[in-house]
Amino acid sequence: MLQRSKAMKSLITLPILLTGLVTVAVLAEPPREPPRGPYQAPLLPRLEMLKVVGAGQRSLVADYYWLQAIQAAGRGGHSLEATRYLDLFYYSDLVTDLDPKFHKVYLYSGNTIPTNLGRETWVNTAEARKLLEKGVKNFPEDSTLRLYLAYNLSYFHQEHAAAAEHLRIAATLPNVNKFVPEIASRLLAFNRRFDAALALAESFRDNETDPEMRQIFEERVLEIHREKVLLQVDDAIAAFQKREGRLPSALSEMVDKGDLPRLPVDPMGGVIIIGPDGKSGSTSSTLRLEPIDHKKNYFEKERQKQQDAQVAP
Amino acid sequence: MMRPFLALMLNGFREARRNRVTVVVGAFAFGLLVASSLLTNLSVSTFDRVLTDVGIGVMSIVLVLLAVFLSSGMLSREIERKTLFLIVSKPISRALFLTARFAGNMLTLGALLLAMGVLFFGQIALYGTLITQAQFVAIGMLFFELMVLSSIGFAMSSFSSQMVSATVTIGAYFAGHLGGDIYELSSKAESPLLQWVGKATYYALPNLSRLNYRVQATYEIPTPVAELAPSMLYAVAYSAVMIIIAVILFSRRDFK
Repeated sequence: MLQRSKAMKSLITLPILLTGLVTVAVLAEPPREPPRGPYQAPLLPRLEMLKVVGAGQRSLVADYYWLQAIQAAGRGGHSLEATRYLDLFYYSDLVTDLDPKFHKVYLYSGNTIPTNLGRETWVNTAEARKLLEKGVKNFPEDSTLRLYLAYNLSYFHQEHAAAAEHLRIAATLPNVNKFVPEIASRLLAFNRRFDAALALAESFRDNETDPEMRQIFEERVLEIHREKVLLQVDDAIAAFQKREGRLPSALSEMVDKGDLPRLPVDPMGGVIIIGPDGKSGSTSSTLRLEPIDHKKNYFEKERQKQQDAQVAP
Repeated sequence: MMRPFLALMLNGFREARRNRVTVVVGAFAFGLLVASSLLTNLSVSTFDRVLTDVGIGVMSIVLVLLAVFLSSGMLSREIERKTLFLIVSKPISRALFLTARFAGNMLTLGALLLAMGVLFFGQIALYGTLITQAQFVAIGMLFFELMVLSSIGFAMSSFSSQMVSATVTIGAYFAGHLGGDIYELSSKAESPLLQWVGKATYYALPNLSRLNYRVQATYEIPTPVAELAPSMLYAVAYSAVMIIIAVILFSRRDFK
């Protein structure tokens, strides 16, 4: 009787155990992605709380969130959403709040967060700017961070004056990229800060030992002088057009009407002309000292491609 | 006097070994191995930093917890197991007993720190990353941090239960690292009384942040001995004060 009862028990428990195990095995799955609606920032602990809980271990806590930031960047790489690198911003912001001297985070995240949606339409640029500005505040002597911030300000936010100032400082820092002074003087001239642009270019010209680089800065000094003249002519054309409702036919017309005191002379030996777009130019060079417009270049390239495609049989 | 001191100290060390504290080193080695294997996959170009932070960080967390556990439970365990009565009935002063036990405690922690340090540097060498003076400083100064914490644990356990002692010592760890905030906040207070109370609290608490050189290890910043020596002396002095308080309280305690 007792043996039968025992047998019955095992007959019941064994199938239940087996069914349970099989069900668990069948239903087992890797961790599910948390459901996401419209973009929401990751829920991160408050900085104050982390500072208390991680007392004495701030580097370790910062590293933990840095690893999370890298994972967020990795996830972003597999996505096509406009918000794909926003998680990286929130993690990086927390990491740099915990450890403001974590230099790598500013460089990596500041460059990764801006997202190109195609046709040079960029998003998340303000977040990248915030991080780079924090980086420059903590590393004022770092020329690379200033260069990245200047690029962000100039290209994404069209704040060329602020960008020029960062480049001007970057150009004077040690171990600076050799192209920084060249870009800095260009932006300073564009923002009509001719004295600062000339001071920078002349100082690099006078201290440069490489004859090729010296020649580049020598030319830049002349280009700045020319840009000063061209901007003066631009202002005169704008004033003329506003008053007359048309573009001037020649430079002499502007001199006659008092918009220019005398005929402008190109310090580089070229002839100054009025372009069809109402901007002045010179025969000494078709390029002006202004920020490189990548968006315009992109669309021009696209247009050229389309034209080529139409011409080809 | 020296012989009983050494005997008690080594006895404390042996007892810790009997309590299987060496398992902690094994757990640390395992943790380090798993963490570094994961980190090689997860980290981007900051591998050296993360390896140093994880190694020294885990080392400090494990040893701080162990210091709290060993120091706060030592006297209560002796009372519980009645081994204390055997010792106090011998011609050994309570002061000698307590200081020898404290020395035994520090010997245990020191041996574990050494073993963990060897494992840590072994791993650093294995991965071919940089061994820096800052790492040695961070690990060396951790010993002094553990000394201060243990002394607080001993002072507490001389008159309170293990639970209370452990809670207060853990509290002292956090307060000791956040003491600077208490100082800053109190200096902003309008009331002079509040300012005075805040500053008094700051100076009464152990300044553990001055013994924390883990951030310097993160950034490979070397620290001159001239800067370390006063901090070491501070830790020894603070521990001495705590042990004297423990001796006074323990001597007055009635075990009847």
